[in-house]
Amino acid sequence: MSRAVVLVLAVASSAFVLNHVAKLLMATGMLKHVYNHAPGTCRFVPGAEQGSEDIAMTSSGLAFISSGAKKLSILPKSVEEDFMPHGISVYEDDHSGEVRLFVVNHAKGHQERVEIFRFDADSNSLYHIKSIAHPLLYSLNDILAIGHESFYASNDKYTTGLYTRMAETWFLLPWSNVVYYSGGEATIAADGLVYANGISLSPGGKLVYVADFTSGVVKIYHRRDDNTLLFSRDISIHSSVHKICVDPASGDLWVGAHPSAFHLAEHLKDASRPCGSQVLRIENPAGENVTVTEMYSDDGRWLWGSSIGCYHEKQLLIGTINHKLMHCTVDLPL
Amino acid sequence: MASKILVLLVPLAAFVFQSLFQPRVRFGDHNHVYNHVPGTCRLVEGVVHGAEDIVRTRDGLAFISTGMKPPPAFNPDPWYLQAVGKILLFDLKKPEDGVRELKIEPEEILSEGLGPHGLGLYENYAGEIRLFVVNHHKEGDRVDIFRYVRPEAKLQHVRSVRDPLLHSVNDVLATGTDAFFATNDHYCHAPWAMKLERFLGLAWSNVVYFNGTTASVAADGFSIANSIATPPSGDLVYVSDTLQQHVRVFRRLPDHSLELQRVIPLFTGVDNLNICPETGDLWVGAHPSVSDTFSHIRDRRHLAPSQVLRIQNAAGEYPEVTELYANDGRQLSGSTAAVVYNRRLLIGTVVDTLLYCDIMVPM
Repeated sequence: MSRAVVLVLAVASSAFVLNHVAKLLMATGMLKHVYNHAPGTCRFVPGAEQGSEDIAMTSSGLAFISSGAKKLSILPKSVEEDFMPHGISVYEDDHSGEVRLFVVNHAKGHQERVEIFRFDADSNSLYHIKSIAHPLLYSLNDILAIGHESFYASNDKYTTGLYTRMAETWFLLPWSNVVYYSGGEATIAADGLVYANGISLSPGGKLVYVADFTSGVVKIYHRRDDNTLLFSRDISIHSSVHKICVDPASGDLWVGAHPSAFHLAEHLKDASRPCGSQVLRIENPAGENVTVTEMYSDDGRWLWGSSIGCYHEKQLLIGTINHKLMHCTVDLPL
Repeated sequence: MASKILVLLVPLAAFVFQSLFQPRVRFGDHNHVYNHVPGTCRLVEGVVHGAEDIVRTRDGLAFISTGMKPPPAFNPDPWYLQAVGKILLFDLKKPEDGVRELKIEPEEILSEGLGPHGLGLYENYAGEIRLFVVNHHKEGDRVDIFRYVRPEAKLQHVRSVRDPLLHSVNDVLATGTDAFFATNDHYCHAPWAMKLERFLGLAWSNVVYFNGTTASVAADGFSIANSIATPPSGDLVYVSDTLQQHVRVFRRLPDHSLELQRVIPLFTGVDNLNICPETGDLWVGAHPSVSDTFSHIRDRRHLAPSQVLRIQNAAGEYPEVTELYANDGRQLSGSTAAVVYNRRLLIGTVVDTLLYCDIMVPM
């Protein structure tokens, strides 16, 4: 009798393990083959060779790019000395015309901060206004500016230790979340994500889109009046979704993704190793007929590690974590 | 005792896991298909029973085989059995005219029941055009050779080639007025044996050469030798192997046997090949998921993904592969063939429809 029990347990647990391994294999995209195609003529943008992980666009089509190389003047200079930027977001004040840039800063000594800057177009400089830190902002990835000093931010992992974070990944633990900060207070707006990455807002401000990198989905939330988030649905992308750029004209989502997280990991360890890129367009994300179209795909032939794609008037700008910046014309009908 | 169980269980589980996953990987179940087009696309009216193969002349006249009935071995949906085999014409210089059915002489060819599959085109500089048609005739597979009579838009039957070596013919490549290469996609004849042959990945499929009088085996060892093409120079022969997911590049020897040079891996269920006579590019129709295509044949409501690839520098050491079209099945199911002429693309399917696209991306 006990032998039978042992057998059943052994079979059940191996099935469970095999199933988890299969899920991991799918999540890493190791078995995937990536094909090449572009929507038009593409070329690298000179001067952006050390990554362009996030791109934030203003309504007039001005793009801020967060990169390993710092090109815009940051004032005061002291801020630059302790500055490792990650996600960025633009806040445009309709009345005053002021343009603010919110930047996630992985400062020295594992300090997580949000830096708020004012952009001065005449001098091409960012004037530092404020640094924001809070216990609930502990593993920041991306940021979505909502007001002068209020925002949503994604914490991509729950723990901060190297091995515990690895365990969170390998066990696909859903401990990542989205936090809302305003006036010194922060609350968890959404949780249960596996790896919350990019966050973006719909043109009307009613929907918040969050990329879950490991699950390969874009999560859609309704934004309530009190700024809490109500989960609406998932859009499956079947790729490691990184950052989302919303086209203000159409409400389309343009998503930067990594077809193979496995090859991306190799590339991040060794920047000379190629990995693929992918940009997808999601039409009608909140509606009945969601349409997902692959607008750009690359097996590592040209562009490595696309994290974001932003569309503006028949042009597509594709940023990467650690590689170059690509500009493509979009010759296809949209 | 527990350790003995584990010793048995682990390899057993591994074997089961491997044999469950391996054919599925080979049949393409693991790849998600993303939709994208090269420009504006529209379905061609009047084609509802497939457009399995397409070939075109140098001046853009495309011949299309339609109405192929899937064999009983595939448990086809009854809707497909209503199909009538025909040859259609689509002039890529005048895409707005759509397709027209070609007259065939003598009429018995059609009234007996034409079972058209692959097509081959012979075109010489004197202006003679011959269409080679793989015909799954009720008395057995044969290759029918027709002369295309341009002014009357009709196909005049010249001869039918039957041979014991031509038993499961898929595609044909014309090399002369009466000579051709043909692919046999399976070795076995019985439906259950063909199924087993596929599932076990037995590499018994072959390519046959017919010199006008006799047939001989030119190459073998394919899992499913599907389609065959040659660049204008004629010294190389490309053969697609659907289950091995690649194109084999052969050098053609004086005795017409084929010597393997290299392989172009495509990671998809490669179906028909077409060569662009101007550039030497290979146009490939493919099934990202062969198992979905088989399901689509069993049940027309089951969608099957489609894909068109372009291979530049196919004869060289580093071919460049670009995906020109991909669809999860909602626009087009089970793509098999593609031809391009002057930035105009035609995509055929096993049993679905025919798609026409204007190519807007740079080529």
